[in-house]
Amino acid sequence: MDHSAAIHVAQPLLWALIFLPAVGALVNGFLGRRLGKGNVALIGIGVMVAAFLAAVFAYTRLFHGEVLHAAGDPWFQVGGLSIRFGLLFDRLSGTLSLVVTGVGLLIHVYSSSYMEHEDDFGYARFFTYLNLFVAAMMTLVLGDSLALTFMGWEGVGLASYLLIGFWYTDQQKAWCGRKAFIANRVGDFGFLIGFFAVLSIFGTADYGQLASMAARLQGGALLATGPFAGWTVTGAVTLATLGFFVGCTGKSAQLPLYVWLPDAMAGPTPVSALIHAATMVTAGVYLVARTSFLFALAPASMAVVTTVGAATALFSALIAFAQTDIKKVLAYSTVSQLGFMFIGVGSGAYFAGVLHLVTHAFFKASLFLGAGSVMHGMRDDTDIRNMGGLAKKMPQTARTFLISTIAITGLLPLSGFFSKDAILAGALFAHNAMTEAYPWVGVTAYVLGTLAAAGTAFYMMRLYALTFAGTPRTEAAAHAHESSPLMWGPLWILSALAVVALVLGLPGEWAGGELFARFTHPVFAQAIATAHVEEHAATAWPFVVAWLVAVVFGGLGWAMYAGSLKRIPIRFVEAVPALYRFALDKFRVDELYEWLLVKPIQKVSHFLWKVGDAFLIDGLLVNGTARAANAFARAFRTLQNGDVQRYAAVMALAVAAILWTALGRGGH
Amino acid sequence: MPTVSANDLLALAPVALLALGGIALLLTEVFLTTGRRGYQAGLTVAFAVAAGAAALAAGNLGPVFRGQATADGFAAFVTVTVCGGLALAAMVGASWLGARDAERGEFYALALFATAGMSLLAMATDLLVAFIAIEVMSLSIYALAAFMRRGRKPAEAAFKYFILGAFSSALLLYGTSLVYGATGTGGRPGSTLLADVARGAGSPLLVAGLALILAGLAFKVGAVPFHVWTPDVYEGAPTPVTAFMAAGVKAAAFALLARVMMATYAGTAGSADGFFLQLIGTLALLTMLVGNLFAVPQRSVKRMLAYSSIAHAGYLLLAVLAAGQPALRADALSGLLFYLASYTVAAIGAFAVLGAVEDRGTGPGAEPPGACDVDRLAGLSRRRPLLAFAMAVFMLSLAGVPPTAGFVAKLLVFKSAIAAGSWALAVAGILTSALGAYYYLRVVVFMYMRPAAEGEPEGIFSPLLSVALLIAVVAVVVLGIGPEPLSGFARAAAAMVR
Repeated sequence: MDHSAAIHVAQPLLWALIFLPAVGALVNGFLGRRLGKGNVALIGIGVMVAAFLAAVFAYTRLFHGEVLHAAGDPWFQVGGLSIRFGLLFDRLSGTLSLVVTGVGLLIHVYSSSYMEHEDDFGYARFFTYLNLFVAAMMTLVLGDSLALTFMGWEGVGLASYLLIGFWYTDQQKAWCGRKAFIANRVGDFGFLIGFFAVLSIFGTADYGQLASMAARLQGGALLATGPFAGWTVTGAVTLATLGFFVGCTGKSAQLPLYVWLPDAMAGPTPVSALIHAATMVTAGVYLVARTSFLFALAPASMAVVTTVGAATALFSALIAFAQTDIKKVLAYSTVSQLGFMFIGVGSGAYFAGVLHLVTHAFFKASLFLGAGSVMHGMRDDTDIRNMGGLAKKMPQTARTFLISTIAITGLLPLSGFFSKDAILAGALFAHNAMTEAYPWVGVTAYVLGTLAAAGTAFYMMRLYALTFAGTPRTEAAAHAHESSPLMWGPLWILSALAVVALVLGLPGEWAGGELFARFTHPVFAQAIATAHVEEHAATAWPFVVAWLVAVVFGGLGWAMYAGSLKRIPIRFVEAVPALYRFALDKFRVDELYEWLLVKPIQKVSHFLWKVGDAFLIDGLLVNGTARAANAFARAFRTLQNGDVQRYAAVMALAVAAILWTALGRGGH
Repeated sequence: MPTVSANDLLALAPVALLALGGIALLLTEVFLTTGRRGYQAGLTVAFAVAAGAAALAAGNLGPVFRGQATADGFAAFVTVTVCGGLALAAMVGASWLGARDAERGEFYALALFATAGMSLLAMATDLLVAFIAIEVMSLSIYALAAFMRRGRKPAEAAFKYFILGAFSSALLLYGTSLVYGATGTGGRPGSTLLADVARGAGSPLLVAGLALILAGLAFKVGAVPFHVWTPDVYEGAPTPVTAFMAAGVKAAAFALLARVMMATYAGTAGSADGFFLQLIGTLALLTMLVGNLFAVPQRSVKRMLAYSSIAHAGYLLLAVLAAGQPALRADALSGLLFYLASYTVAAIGAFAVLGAVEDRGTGPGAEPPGACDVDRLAGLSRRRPLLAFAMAVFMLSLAGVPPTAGFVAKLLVFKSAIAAGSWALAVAGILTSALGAYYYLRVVVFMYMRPAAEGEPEGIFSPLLSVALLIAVVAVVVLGIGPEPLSGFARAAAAMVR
């Protein structure tokens, strides 16, 4: 990120990316109820079209190597620290902007039909929140400092909370919103630790300044000033980056904070597609990529990111095996795919992580919207055991779902194959500061990742087979109907994108290859230099392994749920019912947290409430202070009885006292 | 023969515009044959805006009128603040008086004259000019306090304010004469009573004179123990007048106090042994403590806001104290300016909401007991949700809760107090602010968590009031979220004070 090359243009254009959706949210929020559904949708979609066009226009400038930087006005100034409202549109944030506005636009269009059954108020509320989310997400992506990114980070958290609990009259759904919010708050605490650590180390939050300061640092050098005086640079930066990653595990649903994401499926399905699959949950990946130059200084942090990502990928893929709710399967799949992205950005294959973010946005959004279409057809039933044979009833949905399934499974030649393989190969052949310190990390991530990829292929084919193949298993499935073109139109565009995006990831030896890697190279150049990331010679065998894994396990999944091996899953459940229950119950992680954290905290809280709040604070401090103040006031009330002579006397005495002191002390 | 330069006139333009506005309103009132007075508030706002713009346009002209006044950024900032306060108070006053059928041109004319005095006060660097400005301001305010003169309470309030105000003026004047005697100013070009304070260094007469001046000014800002008039007067005066008094008089008096203390710190350095720093510190501590402690048991919101106004004077004194160190002066004074601006909008807003819901009684002169009781706000969130929301915002700002302007203001002031080494005072300030949250939040609790009494009327509805409240709420929130433009302006303004 060469700051000096930043060209200060296009300021209004970048601001428009945030303000357009914000204005949409304001108008729909305040007037939406009276405007009627048509106008609400028009405004909500209109601002997204405008924002998307602005993003496209700004993006065209990037091809010439420009970096658009809107150096903003000062926001606040505390001590020596000055924070500005500045926006940065480079090849990383630009790409994210295109995804957010583009996919966001499609999902707005889809929602205009999907949410039709809401009343006017609910409809306006939905579009208000959706626009609000886009505005916050654009702030997160475009902010040129950690402060602005954090503002967006909290903003998307709020929008997510509001949308998960969109049907807030349902206790269970409102509770899911709260769970998401709390898990994210735990993560945000980590983000703040990282944020303040960075402020203490560097004295600035601006990415450009941070990058140029980080470039001059030596890992072994000792810091001279600030709270970290005496620490090595590596130690301090490791603390900061680990803090950030704790934030990422919350926002991007990684171990151990992933538990909120499956419950987030309580929100309307377009929300699951936009926020909890395509965009918001990738914010953590974006943050690691954005601050890659800091992570590059801290090999231990890189190792943690990679390992946690790999473990999450496999762990959640295993849970997805046994889920019977179409949205839950996709949710665990999202957690798993986010793990892949973290393997990428953690192990130095930065472009691969971001590329997977982009391709995943396409096919996962398509899958979720497809699931929403299925729910429409099935009258909101989400249990895949009640489906079957929907391919004939809902041909458009089925075809797009199949394309996206193949893409996520990693079958040649769709985009998912290239982005996932780039990550796994990148981890396996990684040769950088991290693998020097921790040689086992790359191989471990490769093995875990490949197992997770096998799992992905299996459960995704199982999902498709149970939903669309065979014959209808219930009355509802027999009478399912295709959704409106407003809904399957976006599905086709997204699955087309999932196919077309493959050109971005074609590997080196193929015609025009490694488009995306070369395109994003300027963003990651500093991190690559700092972490001594070395190019690895492309080898064919990981491709073959990845392809074989996808084919074998995909085929297995198909055969076991739609083909000739149908008896196997039933026998498996009969043979080891306990294991099956365990997987179905998501390995009882929620119960573990309940027992380990929630209950003890509740007990301690109750105790503290009794002793601290009820007795000490309410009893002694609050009421005590109030009583003391009352007594004090009563005692002095004689001086405040409305008698003007007495007032004058008070003042005269005060003057006399002042003069006495002045002449007694000062004058001589 | 003294000559008047173009700069002198330019610097005087805000004052002249305000006075002109007052005269215009008086004249039109005389020739008014219909009862339509809708234009009056609008005219007042227009003159206030024009005067504020003129102050900004004049900018940093430096000393004018041979050094008797100065048109610097500090003066411009204070002028804009009091003009903004005037505009808000005029809009609030129009709806309040309109609802009581008591709207007269004199109200606006007096307010404009008072503001002219305040703007002059902001510029004054000579104690005699300052005295004239103070009297112009005070006489208008005495009359305004008596505006609802048929009521027993307003008459009593105005009378008390007048008597005690005269007392404080006497202190001020006597102190001025002592300073004059000690410095022997006169005749030389550019010599003014403030600029020459240093010439009297070492003289007990000077210390006594300055101490008396300080006592007189402490009365105007309502610092303990010169605050005794405040609760009665604030409670008795018509609510819009109280709002204007709390914001405008405080801002203008603090401007002069800051200038006097700058001269005092410089002029008595070494001789008075830090006496004045200790004096200001003592006043600040007493003011913070008494203001907050007495606010707690009040039932009447109006009286509570009067004590709260005293408490805020204490925090502002902390900034004046910190300005005693030349290195911290710009920071401390910018904190003072920001605090004045944020207090102006929040206090006028709070009084405006209170005025909208207070009990009007049955006829002119009627004074129902408990007209401003906190019970009258019970359930306001259900009757008037927007009004309740505005009041909540103002209460949070006065309590200093982020993200409101009051938080930033307190942060700046406490920061400069800590930088000046006044740890104990800063801690006392923070603790008393916490105490303040108790009585501010009680208002919010009543509005949002207590059921309304049966048959409670809905209070005043008026577009002007809504506009004024909207402006105040937006200002409080915007200054709380993005304080930098204004605090940058305040820093630039404070840096110009010599």
